[in-house]
Order: sequence, then C-alpha cells, then structure tokens
Amino acid sequence: MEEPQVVEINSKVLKANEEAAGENRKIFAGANLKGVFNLIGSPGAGKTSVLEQVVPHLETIGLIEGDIATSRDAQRVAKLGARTVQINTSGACHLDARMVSEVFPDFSLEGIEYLFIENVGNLVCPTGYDLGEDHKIVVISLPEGEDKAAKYPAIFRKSSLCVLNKVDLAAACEIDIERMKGDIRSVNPDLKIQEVSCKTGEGINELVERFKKLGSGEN
Amino acid sequence: MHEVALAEDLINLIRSELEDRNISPGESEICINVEVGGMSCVVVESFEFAFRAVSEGTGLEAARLNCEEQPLTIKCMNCNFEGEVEEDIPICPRCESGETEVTAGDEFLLKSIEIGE
Repeated sequence: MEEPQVVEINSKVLKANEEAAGENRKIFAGANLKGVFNLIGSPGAGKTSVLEQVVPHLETIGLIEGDIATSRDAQRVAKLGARTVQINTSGACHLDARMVSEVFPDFSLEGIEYLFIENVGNLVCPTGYDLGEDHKIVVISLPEGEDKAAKYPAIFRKSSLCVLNKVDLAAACEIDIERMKGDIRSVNPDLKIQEVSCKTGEGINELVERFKKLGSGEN
Repeated sequence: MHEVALAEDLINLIRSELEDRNISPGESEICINVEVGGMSCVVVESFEFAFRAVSEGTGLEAARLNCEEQPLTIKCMNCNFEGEVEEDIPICPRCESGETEVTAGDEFLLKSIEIGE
C-alpha cells in the first residue's frame, strides 16, 4: 500500500470568517465611523442596559443587535434614538462576520458616528469571531461572581475595555470589587475597567468618555 | 456550543482544499489533523461530536479526525519565563505576572490532511 499523501494546510479553521470580517472592515472604513465596538457578555450582564445609558450621550449611534430570537433589545435601544437592525441567529450562540455583512447595504451607516454590535449573550463562543470591529468590549456584572476573568481568560485578553456593571449590588452580592478588578488585571494588565451601574447612573459619564477615547484612538 | 459552526467551517475548508487538488472526498481515505489551542474556546469532545453530525452527506463521514491539543504557551515580559502554563490561563507560573505574550495555544487550526488510496 502506498504511503498517504500529506497535504500541509496550517490554516485557521475560522479563515472564512476572518475574510468576511476584512470585508466588513472595508465597509466600516468607508463610512466615516469614529468607532466600531463589539459588546460581549453573558445573558443578563446588562449589555443592552449599558447601551440604553450611553446612547443619549453620544452623537448618532448605530446598533447591530444579535439575539437568538426576538427584536426586543433592538427596540429598546431604538426608542432612545439609535438606528438599529436586528439579527436573529435562530439558535446560534454567537454572531459571525457573514451575519453582520448581510445587514448591509439595507442598514445605512451614513451619519452614524459610533457603531455598536451587541453580540449574543455568551462569554465563550463570540470570542473567536472577528466581526470587523475596532474593539471588543467585555461586559460583566457583579452577580455573575468574582472569578469570571480566571474562568474565561480569552475574552478578557482580547478586549480593550471591561465594563463592570451592577456595582450598586456589591454589598448584596458580597463582592469585593477591588479583588474582582485585581483578578481581571492579572489576566490582562492593560485592560481598562469601567465600573458602572445602569440603575443609579454611576460611572456612565466616564464610560461615555472611554468610548470617545477608544474612538479617537486613545486608550 | 459554537463547535457545530466550527465543524461546518472545517468541512468547507477541507472540501475546498480537496477540490483544488481534484480529489473527491468520498473516494479516498482521509485523515484530518487539527490543532486545538488551550485558549481557543473549543472543547475537543464537543467538536468531535459536532464533526460527526455535520459531516453526514459531505463525503467526509468516514474521515478520521485527529484533534491534537496544544497547551497554552506564553512568554513572560516580566521575568522572561517561556513555556506552558497550567489551566490555560495566560498568567506567568513563575512570577504571576499577566504581562505575557501568548506564543501558542490560542488558535484552532487545520494543520494537514492525509490522503490515502
């Protein structure tokens, strides 16, 4: 019997996604956007609530909203004046670059300054999928527990900003915020962390400034 | 469970590589070698299961899937440690610094395809 022929490939399995992300990046670059942010976090971390708080403070926001089902989140943010489009993944646990590309050209980016892509609630699967964004933003909340960074290091390594939501619940959840931040920094010392409460409004102005800084290329 | 989507991506990638070489997937014995990084967010058992399900009807049902796990490997910027880390967390095992560069283990790669008669 002949020896098998070995074909060396050495390609990322996500190659097709990365190519599609590159095409999205071209569309974003041609649209005069100040920033494109991919929001990743568990279900219930408060991704949509954070957007609701931020939208009134930033000029013209576009939102590509990813959910397994319903357009409730897109509707919530649209009410506040953002231009939104909903992607329903029909079961898929993450957005991929092709799903995002399919919203164009119907979803116009004209006049939009900041484009947010809210991923499907999940701290694992969306991590490996580049959508063409400028920055990944990880959103976590205190009730999820102190140890998220150690358990899910990949997303904390790949993000530019960590939004630490529901800080008003620190006492109720018996969470030491400084220790939680220490854990996050131990995985990624460069990661900026912004504490917020969507309930009390704490930290929202600072968060808005952080998005502006990320958009202008500062970190 | 994005392993199903990844299995579809892998199968599409293999089919296009075979097509480029005028090889029909059903007619040869095929072994697929993939590398699963410790920080790639891919669970090997889930992926193997997903691959079997997704390969139905693609000509790759009988293909052998060999998943090699690549532990997370880092270089520490603080103390210059180079090597594998425990539990796939990118923190230096020597000085506990997080100022590390990942040198291997954060990718999910199709390494090679072996094609028999």
